[in-house]
Amino acid sequence: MKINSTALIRATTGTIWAIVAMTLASELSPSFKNFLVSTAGHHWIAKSVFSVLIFILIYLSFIKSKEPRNVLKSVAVVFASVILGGLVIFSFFVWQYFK
Amino acid sequence: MHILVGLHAVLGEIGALAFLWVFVDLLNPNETRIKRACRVALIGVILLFLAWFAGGYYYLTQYGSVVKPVIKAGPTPWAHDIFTETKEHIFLFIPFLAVLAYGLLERYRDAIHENRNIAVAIVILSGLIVAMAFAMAGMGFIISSGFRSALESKIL
Repeated sequence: MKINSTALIRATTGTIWAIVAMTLASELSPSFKNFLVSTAGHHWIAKSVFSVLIFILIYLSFIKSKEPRNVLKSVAVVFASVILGGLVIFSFFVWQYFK
Repeated sequence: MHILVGLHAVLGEIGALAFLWVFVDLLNPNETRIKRACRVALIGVILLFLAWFAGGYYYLTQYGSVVKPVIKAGPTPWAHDIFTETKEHIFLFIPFLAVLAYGLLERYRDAIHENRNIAVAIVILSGLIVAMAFAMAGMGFIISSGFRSALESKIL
């Protein structure tokens, strides 16, 4: 079976933002952190497992999508998501430390 | 010093070097280089997943109970509060980026030398993986320094 690159790009982008969302939510909401701990024993394991599941789920959801007309443009979105998502996480922990 | 920290760093950095290889091969792609880049990227993906497991196992079994309290009690608690917290989450991006780079290489292996855009896209992804892996190493250095400065402040 051929890899679907649209599904792969969307799965990567979605997973990056899911990691950012889980990171912030687990710090801001004790009940969400408790939920993560209760599902996997440790919040980081839960985030790791959920990120893999989210990746697979998004990939399977878009597996029949058309191939992107411009792969470079789609990868630019992934690149921007990594930079922006990384900055959000770093800035959040800087803010948490100094607040 | 712990063997798992070394293993995590070695696996991660060799995984990053695999994507540096992909980066270089795709700057001027031909059939041989694309074929080789596919194999090297697959090795890179495997190594980065192994780095995830090794680092995660160390983080869960050693870091939280032994290293974190020492850093937090030392002169540079921000080494944990900012850099460990950032590293443990941003690291999670890398294996997925590696899967994406490998997936695109496999999907377009016959079209890369005809379509420059695809080669550039994979070059950008590979460069990003390398840069992020080295950023992880830099944060690892800051965290280790935080631990050492905490120990030095008690001993010296």
